This record gives sequence, C-alpha cells and structure tokens, in this order.
Amino acid sequence: MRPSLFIIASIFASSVTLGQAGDFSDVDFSNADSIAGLYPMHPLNDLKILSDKLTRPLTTDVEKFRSIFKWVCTNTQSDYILFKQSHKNRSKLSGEALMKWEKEFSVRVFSVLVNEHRTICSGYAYLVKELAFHAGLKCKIVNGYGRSAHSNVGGKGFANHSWNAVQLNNKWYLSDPTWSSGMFDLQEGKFMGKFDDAYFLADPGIFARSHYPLDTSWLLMDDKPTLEDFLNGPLVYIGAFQFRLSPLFPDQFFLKITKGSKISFQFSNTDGKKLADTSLYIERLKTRDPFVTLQMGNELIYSADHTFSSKGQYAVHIVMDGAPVISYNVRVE
Amino acid sequence: MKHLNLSNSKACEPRIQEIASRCRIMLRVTAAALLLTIVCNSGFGQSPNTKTDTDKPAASLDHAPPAPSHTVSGTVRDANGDPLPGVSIYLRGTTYGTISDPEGRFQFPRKLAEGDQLTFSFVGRESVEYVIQKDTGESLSIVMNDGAEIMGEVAANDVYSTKGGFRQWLSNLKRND
Repeated sequence: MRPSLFIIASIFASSVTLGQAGDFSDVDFSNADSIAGLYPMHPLNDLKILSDKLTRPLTTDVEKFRSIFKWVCTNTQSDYILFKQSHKNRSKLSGEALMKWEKEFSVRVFSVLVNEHRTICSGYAYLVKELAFHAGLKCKIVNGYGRSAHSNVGGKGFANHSWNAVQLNNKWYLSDPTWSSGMFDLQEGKFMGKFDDAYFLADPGIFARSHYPLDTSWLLMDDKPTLEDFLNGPLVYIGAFQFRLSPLFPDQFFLKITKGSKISFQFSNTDGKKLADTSLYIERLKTRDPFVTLQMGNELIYSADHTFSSKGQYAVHIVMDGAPVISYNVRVE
Repeated sequence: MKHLNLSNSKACEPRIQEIASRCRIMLRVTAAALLLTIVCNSGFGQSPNTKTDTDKPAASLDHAPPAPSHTVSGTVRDANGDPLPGVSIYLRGTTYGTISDPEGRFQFPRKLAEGDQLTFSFVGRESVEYVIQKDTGESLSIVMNDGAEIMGEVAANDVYSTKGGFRQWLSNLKRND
C-alpha cells in the first residue's frame, strides 16, 4: 500500500468517530459497534424490544446512540423505486393532492420498511428517532434540503431529505443515517451498503453545506448561512466530511470569469493532518493540477491554480485519494 | 393487600427488615399494638428488568415513593379519531406491557404509580410517552400522530457534471492516477 494511503487508512482503522469536532474523539465505540452487530435483520414490528437489546448493555448516552445509529445504517438498505416515486410526486403535486398521495405512500413506505428493511431517508430517520426514544434519548427528525450532484445545486431549492438531531450531555448533534449507510452505485445499478461514520455526529459547519433544515435553528450555528448560500455554495461530497475539509476559496459554486483568467482553489482541513494525493481535475479538459500546501500560522492551506484559456462551461473537482471531495462550476466567457 | 397483626414488635424486627427490603411499607402505629400494612408492588418473583425499589433502604414515611394505585386503561386513536389496534404499550424501564385491541382499547396489566412512564408505539406512528399523574383518571385517551413526513432522498455516487443528468465518476480516472 502506498505510504500516503496507509496514513489515511490507519486514521480510519479504529472506531473513533471523526464527527462533531473533538467532543467524542476520545470515545471508543467498538463495544457499541459490536452490540449493534449482534442483531442482524432484527424484526422492526416492536422497536422497544430492539432498542432495549441495542442499548441496555451500554452505560453512556453517546454509546447508546452509536449502537442505534450503527444498527440502522447496517441493517437498512435504500430503495431506489421509493426514491424515484417520491421525487416524482413531491415535485409534481401540491396542496390536497400532495397530502392525499403522501398518506398512501406513507403506508407503503412503512410496510416496505418493516417487511424488507428497505426505505428512503425518512424511514432511516424515523427508525433512529424511535429507537432513541425507547432508550430515553431526546432525538428528532429534521426535514430540509439535501444537496448532492443530483439535487439542490442552484435553483430555488427542493425540500427532499430527512435526518436526525440528538441531544447528548445536554448538547445537540446532527446525524444522517441515510447517507451513512452506503450509496447507490450508478455503474453497478444497485445499492452498495457501506457504513461510514462521516455523518455520525457531524460538524455543523460542513454539514450545513449539504444539509439545510426547514427550521434553521437545527443548523446549530450562530452565524447561519441562508438558503441561497446553501444552494449556491461549493458542492461537497462525503470525502469532505471524512477528511474534515473546509472549502475556503472560492465560496461560491457558480464561477464566471473571462477567458485567460486564473482561479485559485484553496481549502484547509480542520484536524491539520497533511493529506496526500490531492489534485484539481477539470472535467472537459481532463487536466490535473496538483495541490501545494502553505503553512499560515497553525493552519495548513491547500492551494491549486488553474488558468482557463478556452471559453465554455467546466465542472471542476478537488480530488482526494481518487474521489471528488468538492466541486465547482466555472463558466469562461 | 396482606395484613399482618404482630403483638410483640421486638421479635418482629428482623422479619420486618426482610419484608421492608422487598416491598413498600406503610406503618401505622396504634395505641395498643404495631400494625403493619404491607403493600407489595410487584411480588417476589420478579425479572431482572423489573423496575423495583429493592435497591433502596427501608423507606421512612416521609420519603416513601407513591404506591402503585392506578389501574390504567384507555383507548389509542389517530389524529382523525380512528382507533389504533396493535399499539405496544410498555411501562418504561420494564418489560411489562400490553397491546391495544382491534378497537384501540387497552388495560395495563399492573397497577401504576404516580411518576410511572407509559410508552405507546407502533411502527409508522410517532411514539407517545404518558406520565402517570397523581390525579390520572382511570381511562386515558391517547392520540398518536403520523410518524414522519415522507421525504424521499437517498445517497448515490454521482458526481456533478456540466453535461446534465446523473453521471458517475469514471472508473478509468482512478487508473490514470
């Protein structure tokens, strides 16, 4: 294994969370994770029974929540048909028609969930909330806008996603079980289950770039971005959470420049560890610019420049370890 | 309720301690004799999960927890007033529970005390917690709302592209690293 990959791999080897910066970084979740692993495909018809099994052997609230979260993520699959139907009807219908459809669809969603352990975001968030309820934890479903390559990039916004907020030691934290359970592989054409704790107790600042709640108090931020900031900011992927990245510059997704201009793309990572294998990839040009690091006080800044010499529209990706972590759209005139 | 009439209080002490350690006790001292009124809340053959007072020392009159005296029954309905059958009803912290019948009615199988928490849950509905109050009536009316507004998002490995629509990350790109 290349040395750079080994360094990154060893960071993930333990069960220590990389979520909300520092609060639970000393907690070893291997006990909670192994309890979650004891009940594969446990029935869902009585969630109190499941919750007791997942949480009674654990003594701290954060471990109980971890056991619940891990169980839901590893025993639930995303359902593509429900996703497509939901997307179609939610964007097409409104008012009474939407309410009528939702009533019937809701019955179907919970039926599929209980019988097949398959669902969409609201099903995941519901399970986490209910299991937490039975464990005596304060947990809520948060509805809002989920942002990814296929949703809420520019435009007016389409509220399409559900996630959770949980109170631990009198402080609220944000979690997204749907996105932590795996993802649809569009090449394979199916759901690939793979637990990632990137969205377990996530950093609110990075979380707000891909999750914007209808009730903005659930941003858990004093300096709140607006919906417009959210819809038009740099697009982040799961890697941004895994590597604790903060895009610094540019701070907008849509960039418009004149031919021959240079753009400097910069970011830093909040845990300060040096990240190798980072490059700037321009889609249509298929060019790669390596990132260099600059020490600014005790912050390590990654920087890469590109001069756009031809007119057109380009998708620009910051790539780390072979996968994009941040994307931009550049229009050259 | 069992009544024990004991004439010689001193000889009863060890026995009293033993009984006191398992049940809640109300002591009433009369002029002529010691009368013990013993109220046991859950009997002697309890499961490890049962919420009991066995861990507490023999309670003094001032700090005795409320005795379970509420017989609780009721009906569970949705927001439209339609009955909800099959709802699981538990006493929090225990495995004691029951299920609502086809008309949404239930009767809790044990007497409950002030402060006891009942949970009502059914997959697809938002769970409800009800705390027994001092003046909780015999018949409860519980309403359970829909569990979640259904949003439909899922995660995919698509990457933004100017070409429009979904586009996966090209696997040959990794080979060019």
